[in-house]
Amino acid sequence: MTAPLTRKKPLQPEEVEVFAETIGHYFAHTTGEKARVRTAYLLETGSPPQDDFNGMILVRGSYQGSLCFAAPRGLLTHVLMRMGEQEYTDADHLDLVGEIANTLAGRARRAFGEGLEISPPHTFTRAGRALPTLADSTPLIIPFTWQSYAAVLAVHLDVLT
Amino acid sequence: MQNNRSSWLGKYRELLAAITLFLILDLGVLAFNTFTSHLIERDTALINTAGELRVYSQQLTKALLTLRQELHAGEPVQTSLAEIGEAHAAFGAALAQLRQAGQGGGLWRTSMDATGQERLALLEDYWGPIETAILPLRDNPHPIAIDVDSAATKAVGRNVRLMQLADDLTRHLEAQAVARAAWLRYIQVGAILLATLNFVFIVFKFIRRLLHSDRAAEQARRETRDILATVREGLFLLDRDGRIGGQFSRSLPALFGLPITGGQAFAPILAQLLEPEQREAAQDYIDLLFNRKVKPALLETLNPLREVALKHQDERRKGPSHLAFSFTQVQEAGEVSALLVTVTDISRQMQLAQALAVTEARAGSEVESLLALLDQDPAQVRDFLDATRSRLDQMNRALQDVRPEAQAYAELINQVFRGVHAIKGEAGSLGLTDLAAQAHQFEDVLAPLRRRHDLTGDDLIPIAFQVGELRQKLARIDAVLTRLARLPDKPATPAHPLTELKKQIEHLALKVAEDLNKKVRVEVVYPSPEPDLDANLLRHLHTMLPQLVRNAVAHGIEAESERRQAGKPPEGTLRVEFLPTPDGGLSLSVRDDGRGISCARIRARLIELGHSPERVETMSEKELLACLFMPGFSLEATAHAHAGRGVGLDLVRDMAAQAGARLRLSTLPDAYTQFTLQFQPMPCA
Repeated sequence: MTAPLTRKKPLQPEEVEVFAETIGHYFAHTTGEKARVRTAYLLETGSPPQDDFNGMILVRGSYQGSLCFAAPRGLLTHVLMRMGEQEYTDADHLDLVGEIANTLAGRARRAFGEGLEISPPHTFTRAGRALPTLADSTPLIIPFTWQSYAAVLAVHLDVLT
Repeated sequence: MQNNRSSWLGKYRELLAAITLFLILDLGVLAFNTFTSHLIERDTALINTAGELRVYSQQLTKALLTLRQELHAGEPVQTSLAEIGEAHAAFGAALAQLRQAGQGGGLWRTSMDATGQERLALLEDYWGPIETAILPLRDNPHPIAIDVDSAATKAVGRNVRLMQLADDLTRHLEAQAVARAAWLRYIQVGAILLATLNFVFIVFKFIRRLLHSDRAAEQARRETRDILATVREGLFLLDRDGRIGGQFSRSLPALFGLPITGGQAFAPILAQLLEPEQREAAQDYIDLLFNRKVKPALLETLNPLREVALKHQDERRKGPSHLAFSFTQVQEAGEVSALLVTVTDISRQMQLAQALAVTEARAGSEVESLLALLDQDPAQVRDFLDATRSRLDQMNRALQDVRPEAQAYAELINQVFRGVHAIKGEAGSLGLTDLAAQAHQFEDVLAPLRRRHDLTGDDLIPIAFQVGELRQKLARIDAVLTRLARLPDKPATPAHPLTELKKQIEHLALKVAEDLNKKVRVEVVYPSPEPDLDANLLRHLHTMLPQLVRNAVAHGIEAESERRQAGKPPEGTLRVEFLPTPDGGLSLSVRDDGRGISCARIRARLIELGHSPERVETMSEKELLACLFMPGFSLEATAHAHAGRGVGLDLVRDMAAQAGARLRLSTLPDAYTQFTLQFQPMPCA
């Protein structure tokens, strides 16, 4: 018995733009100031960039791969302050990137259909261990700026046909 | 219409009946009041008349007694006789009036009741003898005493009884009037009560119906609002004056990418969305829709906006690229009063259709590319692949390092555009049509961005994708090339680079000419034996030559008919000449015998592009020709696969600067255009 043949192809720009918009709106909603896309590029070699805190979701189904939001401590602390939080522990920072990853998961579900299997957000620090990716295509890196900080969204998804 | 009227009547039937009843009651009470007042007036008159009988009887008796006394005393009797006559006549008249009233008749007269008539008859019986006794005294100036005595005796004897009877009649008439008045009052009160109840009913019914209507209207409004707020399609009514109705779906402004207000004219919106020809067709179609004589089925087939690509607008950043409009006539009284317009975003469908067409085309061009590979020098293709990979890496690094500023984004777009155009040119000259088509698609993404001045980081996402697409194409060609290299049947010795270059130039020139329906003869001249060429110089030649060749065939050489009109042979000539220079360098010239470059045409194009006519008029020939090398400037108004992007000569200038080569342009209108590149001798390694 042979496994069904599937062909992997990269996402379309519009499909990725929704994630960039989601991040932008999340910041606009929680802090009143939108996070802006600085640029977009293909990851030449190596793993997607990680930062102090990272929130990742895995996607399986007609789309397969991962979405990972990585941000430095300073940015997240600033956002927590804007949100009126009093605690700034690592756990709070991880919760925040987890929430952002969860927002991405919700957007992915709306964009790609309910049939998609999306993992709960996996959060980790720079020293932590990232989940293995499921996609073969070249990851797309979308750096964001918010105030003077920089964060990154790594989109690593294949479309299975 | 009749149905409408009957339903309208049906809806308000109860209310109309109640109002009619109210009016009838009201008028009835009014008529009854008039009738009652007449009855009361008559009753009062009868009572008065009956009361007067008493007075007249008294006066008559008194006058008779006075007459008897005057006769006996021999005094004049005229006064007494006159009084008797008056009293007698008045009594008789009153009695007649009562009698007439007793008999009834006429609209306002009812007969006296039996008791009244009985009392009146009694009174008449009792009056009869007195009247008989008085008769001899009437109209007799000298009555005799015996008649007077007889009359006076009768009058005195009957006066009291007569007065008694008149009183009885008066009281009876009063009682009758009181009873009637009471009865009339009851009727009046009853009628007014009925009218009031009817009025209350009307008010209650009316308010209830009003409340019901309000609730229904509010419900309808809410449902309409919910529908308009939820529906993805753009919905609105377009009136005969071409204005958008007050209510439209919330999605409409997003679909148009424009702010919309109720009552806004539709034509200016179409002007912003559509090209002028499409707009005119749409306007004609809308006018046609308001003509009720045209069959709806026919109208549907004529709709020019069934699938329409929206005009590119620099200021509109987001929004659909394609829309579908459907129009439904709203009829009222047999006339088309408005159009219900449904707008659907079909961008995704159109993209999918385009993607499908591209995929199908690519399947063909992939095969074509792979076959072309067999015909090329693998080393040269490998060299091209390496150079292209390097270009793509540079683009990706530039994307990664770009400063977040609109100016930096614009510079990046121009830089990427040049790189992609170079890839397209070289791929075309190598016959790698699939790759060239991908590069052309990349240019399609870049072209609108280059016109914008408000670029943001979001705009770079599609560029990164396109870099990825080109990379994938390269990888595929690379894999095929690797497999080809494994084949045992390899060419014995690779040809000289200039020989390969000649082959590519010829291939490219003929391909462009074929695509543009032109005829061209290619002459490639190079020294023999072929000089050794530095790898860098060769790379530059590979990049620049396709641009100059493509430019010459696309812009320079005319179509066959145009050449015939100009008295030229139908086939154009493209001459590419490599010449070693005395200082050890290389001169490359690309010359076509086409239409040349007209400065007037450059001027016109600059004005078309929005440059000030005054400034353009004062520009020298040199300045005008320099415009040809500006990024984004092209003499073609619309871009196609081989021209119109305004990148080729910009790229050549950029590459020439990188290679330290001197670039010259000479041209003569209707005769020729020649580009010459003079490469300096390469320093010894």
